[in-house]
Amino acid sequence: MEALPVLAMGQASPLGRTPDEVRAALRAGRRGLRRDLPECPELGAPLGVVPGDLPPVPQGLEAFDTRCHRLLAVALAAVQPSVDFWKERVPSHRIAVVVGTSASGNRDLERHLAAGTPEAPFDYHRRQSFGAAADFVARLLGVQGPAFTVSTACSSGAQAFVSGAGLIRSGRCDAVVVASVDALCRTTCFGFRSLGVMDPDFCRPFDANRRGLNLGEGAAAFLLARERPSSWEGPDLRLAGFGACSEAHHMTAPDPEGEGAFRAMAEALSQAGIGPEDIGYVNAHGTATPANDGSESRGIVRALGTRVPCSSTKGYTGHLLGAAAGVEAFVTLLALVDEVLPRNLGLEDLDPEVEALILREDEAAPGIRFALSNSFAFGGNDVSLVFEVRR
Amino acid sequence: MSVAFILAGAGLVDGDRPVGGRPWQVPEEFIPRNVRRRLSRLILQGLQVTWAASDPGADVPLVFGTANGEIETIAALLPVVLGPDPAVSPTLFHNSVHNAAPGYWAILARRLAASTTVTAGPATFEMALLEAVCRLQGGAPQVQVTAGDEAIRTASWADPGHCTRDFCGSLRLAARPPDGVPCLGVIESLDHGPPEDHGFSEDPEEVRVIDLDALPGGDRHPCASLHRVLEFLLGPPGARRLRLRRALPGGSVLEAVFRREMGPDD
Repeated sequence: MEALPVLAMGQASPLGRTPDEVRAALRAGRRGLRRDLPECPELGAPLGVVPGDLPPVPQGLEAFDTRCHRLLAVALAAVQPSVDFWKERVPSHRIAVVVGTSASGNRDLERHLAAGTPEAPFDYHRRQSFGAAADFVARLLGVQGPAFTVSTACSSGAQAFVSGAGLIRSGRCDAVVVASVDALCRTTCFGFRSLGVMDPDFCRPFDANRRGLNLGEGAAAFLLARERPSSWEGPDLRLAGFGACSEAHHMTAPDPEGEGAFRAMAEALSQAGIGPEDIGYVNAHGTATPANDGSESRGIVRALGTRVPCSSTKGYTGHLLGAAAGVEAFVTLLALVDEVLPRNLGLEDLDPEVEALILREDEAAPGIRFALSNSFAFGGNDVSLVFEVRR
Repeated sequence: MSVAFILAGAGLVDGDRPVGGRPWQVPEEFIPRNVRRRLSRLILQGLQVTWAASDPGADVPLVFGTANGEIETIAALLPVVLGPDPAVSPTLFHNSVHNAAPGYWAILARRLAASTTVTAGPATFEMALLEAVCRLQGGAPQVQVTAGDEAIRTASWADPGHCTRDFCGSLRLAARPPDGVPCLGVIESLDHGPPEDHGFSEDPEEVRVIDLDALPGGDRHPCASLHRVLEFLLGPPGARRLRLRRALPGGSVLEAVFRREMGPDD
């Protein structure tokens, strides 16, 4: 496919809200996960939340006020000026919105029900319905194109890129706001606990003694466009390709041989028109569950060999679920811009079955051009995205 | 120039009434009994209609559209997670995700092609159709779009009045006309734009027009439009064309024009 410009990006994650806050945490090896949060205290596990208070949603959109939408608004602030630029140049209906989320406003619904006044009105269509996320973003940005949410559990944020690229490639839109979000909720926390895949301590992706994942919340937003205006400033970033497939194996367990991961990565390379030797970094899905990391390593080795530097950044943020792919795309793009690859935080003893090259320390990557980001999900929904920086 | 060719379609109302055409039956062995008893009505009916409109010889990408998703499963989970001992059923948890139906489809039908799940309130089917057509234009020879929502029975907070029946339907679309094989219909156009660009000036005897935002009788089911498309394609012959019009969340309007080629008994 023709690489699509990524003209703007923003995020809110346990590492902070600005690119510099994310950079500083990554360089310092400082995780955003904490044990002392008031969320789900019975869980007894570290969690990641966006630090500080989140501002209420803008005036006029109060009916949409949920933590999920507040997180989106924070991430969108960095994208809004670029959207405004396009609104001045193309009809507003040529700008679309695609948002990925796995839980939408479930957190606020839980709190509404826990308050013990179920007879009190709850605006389902604006606060919990999954389509509300895209509706909110379209209203917030004042764009009139197609607006929909994609929800494929933990690959939702990556599928949003796939759909956004499709709207541009089909010629139906000139620009697409691609966003993703999830706020922590009890359903997700105790759901993952029921699967026996939560580490009560800080997670250790690819470690021999890994016990499972940590959970977190976050949001990310990007502006994809059909072209990069000649006057555009800032790094020339692109979505160069993507691959998506179904594992057809199990609702929650990955194919042990990493077959789906391999096929998603191979298709992404093919779409980008590049070979394994062109990839300078892989931001792995790397949940730190015993099943995922071994499977993913096998898929990476088959698709890319054993010499491509890889790391999971979930040791910093936790698994951000529907927002994971978006925040990890942000981290991957930062790595391309900065020419520094983030370490795999939490790794002590590498699992001997992991043959992929996992980064123990940050690594300089001068001249790096392509990087790949993996996201896998319940239902065997696998997506790999290839990003590019042009210098 | 046509946007897509409709090779097959199937729909189910309340789990046992097929929309138009002849009744059909999913083989027992496709959904084993030990799996079936774990499934929500949405997953089960999604599997049934996807099977009925599928191509047994091709691994076709699936776009699944659902506005409310597994809302009844979420309603079953909520009292547990809000209680003092949140011991959640692992099966209920993984069945609560919006993409549960396409996940089961891939596993049971051994399909490795990509799938996604689209949700957009009352415009869910239209956005799923748009996603499917974008995939056809991106090079996929066929794409199947399945959309549905189950009746809201216990999720009292979720405006139950907007979705009072089970409905699931599926269309299998192709980028090019099938070689020597008749097809059900054609999507002649699928466009979005500002409302003023989309007037209704066609001959009413030739075109049946449905403004989905002004439906008489207050049919607010999120997938009512797919239900009407399937009735048009599979039901008794009537108008040759169906034009659907839907206001989108951002304020523009999406219009789709379907042309019927042949019914199941033609």
